[in-house]
Amino acid sequence: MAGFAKIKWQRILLDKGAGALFLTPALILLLVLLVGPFSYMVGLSFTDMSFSQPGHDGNFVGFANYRKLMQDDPIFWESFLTTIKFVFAAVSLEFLFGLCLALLLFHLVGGQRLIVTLILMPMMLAPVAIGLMWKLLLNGEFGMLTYYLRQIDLMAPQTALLSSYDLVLWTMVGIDIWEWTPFVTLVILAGLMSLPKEPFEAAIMDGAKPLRVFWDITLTLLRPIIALVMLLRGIDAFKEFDKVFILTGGGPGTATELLSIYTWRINFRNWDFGYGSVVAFMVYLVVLIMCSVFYKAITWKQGLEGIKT
Amino acid sequence: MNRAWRNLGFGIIVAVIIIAMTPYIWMFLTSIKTRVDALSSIPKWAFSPTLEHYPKVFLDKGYLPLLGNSIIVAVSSTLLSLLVGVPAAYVFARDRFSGKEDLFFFFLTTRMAPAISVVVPMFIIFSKLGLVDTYLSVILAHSSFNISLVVWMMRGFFEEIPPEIDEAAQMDGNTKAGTFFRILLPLAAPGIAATAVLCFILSWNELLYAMILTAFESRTLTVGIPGLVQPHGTLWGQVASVAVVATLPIIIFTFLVQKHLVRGMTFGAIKG
Amino acid sequence: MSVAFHNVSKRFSDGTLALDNLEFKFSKGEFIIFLGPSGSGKTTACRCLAGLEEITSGRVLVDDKDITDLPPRERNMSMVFQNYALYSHKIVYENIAYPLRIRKYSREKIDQMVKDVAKLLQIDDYLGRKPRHLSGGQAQRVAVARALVWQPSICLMDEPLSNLDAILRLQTRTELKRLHEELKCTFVFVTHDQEEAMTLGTRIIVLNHGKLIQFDTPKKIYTEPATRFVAEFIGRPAMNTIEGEISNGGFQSDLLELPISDRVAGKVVLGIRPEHIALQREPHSDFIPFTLDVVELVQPDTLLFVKKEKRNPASIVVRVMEDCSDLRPRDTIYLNFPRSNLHFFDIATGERLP
Repeated sequence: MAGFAKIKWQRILLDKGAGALFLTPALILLLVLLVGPFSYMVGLSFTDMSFSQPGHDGNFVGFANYRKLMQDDPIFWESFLTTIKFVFAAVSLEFLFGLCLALLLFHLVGGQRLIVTLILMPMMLAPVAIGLMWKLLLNGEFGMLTYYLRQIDLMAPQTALLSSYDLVLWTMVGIDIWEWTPFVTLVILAGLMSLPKEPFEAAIMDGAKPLRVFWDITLTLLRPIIALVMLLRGIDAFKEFDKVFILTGGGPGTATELLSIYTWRINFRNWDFGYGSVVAFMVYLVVLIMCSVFYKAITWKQGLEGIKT
Repeated sequence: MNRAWRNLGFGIIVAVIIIAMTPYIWMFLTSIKTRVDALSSIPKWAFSPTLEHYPKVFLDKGYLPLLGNSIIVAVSSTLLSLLVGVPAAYVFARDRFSGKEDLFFFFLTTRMAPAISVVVPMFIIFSKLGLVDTYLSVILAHSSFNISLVVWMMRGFFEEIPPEIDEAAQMDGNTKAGTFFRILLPLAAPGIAATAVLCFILSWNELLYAMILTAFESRTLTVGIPGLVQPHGTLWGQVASVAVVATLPIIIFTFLVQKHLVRGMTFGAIKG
Repeated sequence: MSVAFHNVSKRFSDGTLALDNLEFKFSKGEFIIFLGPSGSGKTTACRCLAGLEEITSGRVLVDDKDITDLPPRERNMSMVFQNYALYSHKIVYENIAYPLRIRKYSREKIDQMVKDVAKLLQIDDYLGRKPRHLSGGQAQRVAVARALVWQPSICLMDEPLSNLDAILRLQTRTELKRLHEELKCTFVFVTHDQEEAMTLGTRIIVLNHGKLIQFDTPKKIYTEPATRFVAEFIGRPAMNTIEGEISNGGFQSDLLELPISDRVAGKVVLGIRPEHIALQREPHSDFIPFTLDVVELVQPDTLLFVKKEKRNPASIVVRVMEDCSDLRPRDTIYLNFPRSNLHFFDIATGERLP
């Protein structure tokens, strides 16, 4: 146990100052990496900076970019709508499938690790690799899934899911479900395993049938956890980029042009950073709003805690 | 629960596992098929395998350095995030100060920041600083979301250690910092390992920051994938090989640390 | 109405035999206690009666009807759990009303029944609170209210008093007894506390290692324990048991020697309750001298621990209800062991000998 700080100021630093010392680097790094760029982005949104005119920081244009967004950019709003459709469909189906799968696993397998890990595999893979996988599976000429879907007459001989205006967004939803249902399942399963046994037995003794026990007790006790994981998924689904980028790049046309893809296109294809910053800012704003809902959900959950046994 | 329902349930679980694994297995098979076999309009399950694509893409096309870059970036951002995040998590776990939960929430939201929104100004700033296409830019970008993950997870792990241990260490003569380094860190080692693995995975798998902030020198493996996909004439064997190499390590990792991973990932949701 | 266990055995999936051929029958209105040390199977027996556990073999009958395969909700029994198991997201009123809502009583009926039972258990002031705002004693009473509100034929209670502090435990014990007398329902009560069992029960089922050891009224269990185990388990302090041998017209052991004329020779265990031993400070005929070891004042009684010799750690406990402040350790006192209060047990099986 050698090496106690003998000099007084050293002692103070390592003792009272330890808290601040430990927190500050993280705080500084995050402020620099996130708050800095955020402010810069807001500033940029008032300019017309563009890399297509190199060596030029752009002129101040006031609210012109904002006006353009609100009045003159139907593609932005269409993209916003597409993203919302995507989020709602994916998150609600992931909830449904995740809940059912978690219940199934809970009653039959009880969190046995090997099976859970196998089911978890999709969410461990790089999203871009997942996009590639499904691009391969759904290819119009040699895709394995396309072939079998045509065989069982679910698809016409000449169509491919990735090039169909009507179906492509739902295909994206399906792939997202494939990727993220395991995560929802895992969290709900962990929740199920952490529930106390007694309320269930009490309900049985009170005369409740199994379905009623599920509705009154299981779902009610799980509600905070479910809310949390669905909100988490909602926020992440809103930001979806990697898979869609490699699968369709936003197409065909703008059928899968999610907000993130649109933002990328404005900034890194058109190099129009002035306007692109406004778009990026909008995305940030929506996510921030979703986050504050998240915050309310967390504190509400903590308020529910303190179960009397 | 009677037999018939049980069997149906198990059947569903098996079906789910098959659904979960087939896409990946198919891609793996594609990486070892000849071009003819891979592009066959009737899917081939039996074929004579070939390993030709791997050296073609990694050596001839020079994708091997990308593997190295991925390793460097993932390891570095993990280390940086741990270095900065673990002590911060400790403070959140043990100390009481006004605005603590609000500050913690600020940390949490940094994870949520949409990459596409952050990367726009980040790209411009880094290019003015001449940092684009260096390791540093990607490492910093990845740390921006990994730090909050570290803080979130490690706080839970630290809170599991009874505070009496801290107090005993201080009675033994340690400063608060000493207590942290000598006693808490070793105790929290499993948690740190699980968190590190998760950070590594997230950084390794990341596309957007890596794609924008790198060019030729520091491209990671994930960025290599879109590069090989062309509107016509994609060399599927090769791109599949890259994808396999990009994902295999993670799969192995996941199996190695299953227990801790499952525990760590549910922490956030259960403990709130 | 009667409840019966016929040859009930239960083996858990890991192989442990929790219940071993239980056979008993009791009737309506009784306050039956399942008493035993931890691991004796008492909770398992209760849960098997409730239907929360499946039995491996045997049958459970209520009113001569076989209910072994019925799920809990069809058995007309309710249960009070050891840690109350209240529904944390419902207020007290809803907790109590839940079994009535399931049975689809009318709203007015539910209201009346809930308020009645709440008044009976003196919790009518808390009906609007959530469980986390209740004290232990209040929560426990809510649990009992929930179990009684729908008037089941049998009310099962699994160590309901264990989580209460000592004073509350005694108070609640009396309340439960009063409740039982007022409602005239059948209670089955699981406990490891022999004092609780003796004060509350009309009859006690003593269990050990999953086997039924004795099923009798408290008085009988106290005065005629069926085995050494029962003798040592009941009573505080426990009965003195001394191993020795009947020979040469007396009981011989390291600790004690008594003239016994009417018993067969052989090894036996002698038992006598601490309060049946007579005490004299001066030598007296038929009184044996002992050295006093420890004096414990348990007002209004005093417990005296005596030893025969220093090397032998075994001791005899005497309970007297007189002032012993004059006695000091190492004093010599004189004890008498009346023949009529002596119990004898088989040294191998522990069974009571006639």
